[in-house]
Amino acid sequence: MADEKFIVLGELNRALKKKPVLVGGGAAELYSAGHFVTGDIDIFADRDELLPLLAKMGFSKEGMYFIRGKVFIHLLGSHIEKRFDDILLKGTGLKVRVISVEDLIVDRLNACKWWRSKVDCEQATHLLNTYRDRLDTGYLEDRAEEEDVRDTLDELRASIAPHKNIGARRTKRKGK
Amino acid sequence: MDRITTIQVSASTRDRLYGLKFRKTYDEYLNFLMDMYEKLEAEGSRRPRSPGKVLVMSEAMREWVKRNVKWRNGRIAEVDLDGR
Repeated sequence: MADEKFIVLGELNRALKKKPVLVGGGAAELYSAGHFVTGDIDIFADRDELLPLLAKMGFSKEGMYFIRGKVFIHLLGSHIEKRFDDILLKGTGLKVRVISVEDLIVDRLNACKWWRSKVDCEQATHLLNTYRDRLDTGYLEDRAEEEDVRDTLDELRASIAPHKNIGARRTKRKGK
Repeated sequence: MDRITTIQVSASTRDRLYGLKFRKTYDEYLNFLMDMYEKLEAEGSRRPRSPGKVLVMSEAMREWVKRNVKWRNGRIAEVDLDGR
């Protein structure tokens, strides 16, 4: 059975009109098959719609978290301008909306470059290598340039064996 | 001594700190934690994890993705988390 936090997110996704978007460590955990484990789930969701539902589901607010048992939800904001994917959790009938792998990599690159976070450098490298033939290279590079982390992206890509072609697809972004 | 200031932490954080800071002031204990963190960071920067090891682990993740992730139009459409 999928981790309880992903089930909760799937239930929220099913109940809410404005679908919550999973970002951060929770997204990394989902994309890494649990290789990177997080204690909480960071989401963007409509606060007015989310809070009554969380209360109904038995969550209580403690500090910045909404907590029920071992599930900790951190509401980061109401809206996020990132690409996301709607992913079905096999065997549950539930879908979760998750920040795209490309945007998650850019997020980790930011922490790697600006915070010098080794864990995030490693996660970015992992994700770049794991999804190397599936990434949308054009989008990834555009986003990295927007966030001024293209140099770190290139550095990490160079650390992966040169013969490995990272990114098999290239799409144009809207308006570009 | 430095001027004393206030910072806001949640009640749960305060309680955890209280439980850990045995016979130290909050100020002393937080400085102890920061010293330890900086020491570990400095050690870590001298001994970065082998890039080869990172790649070996992500090759294992690639295998998991092949087995447990379904794609539609180039995007992830389904994940089998029980395959972990």
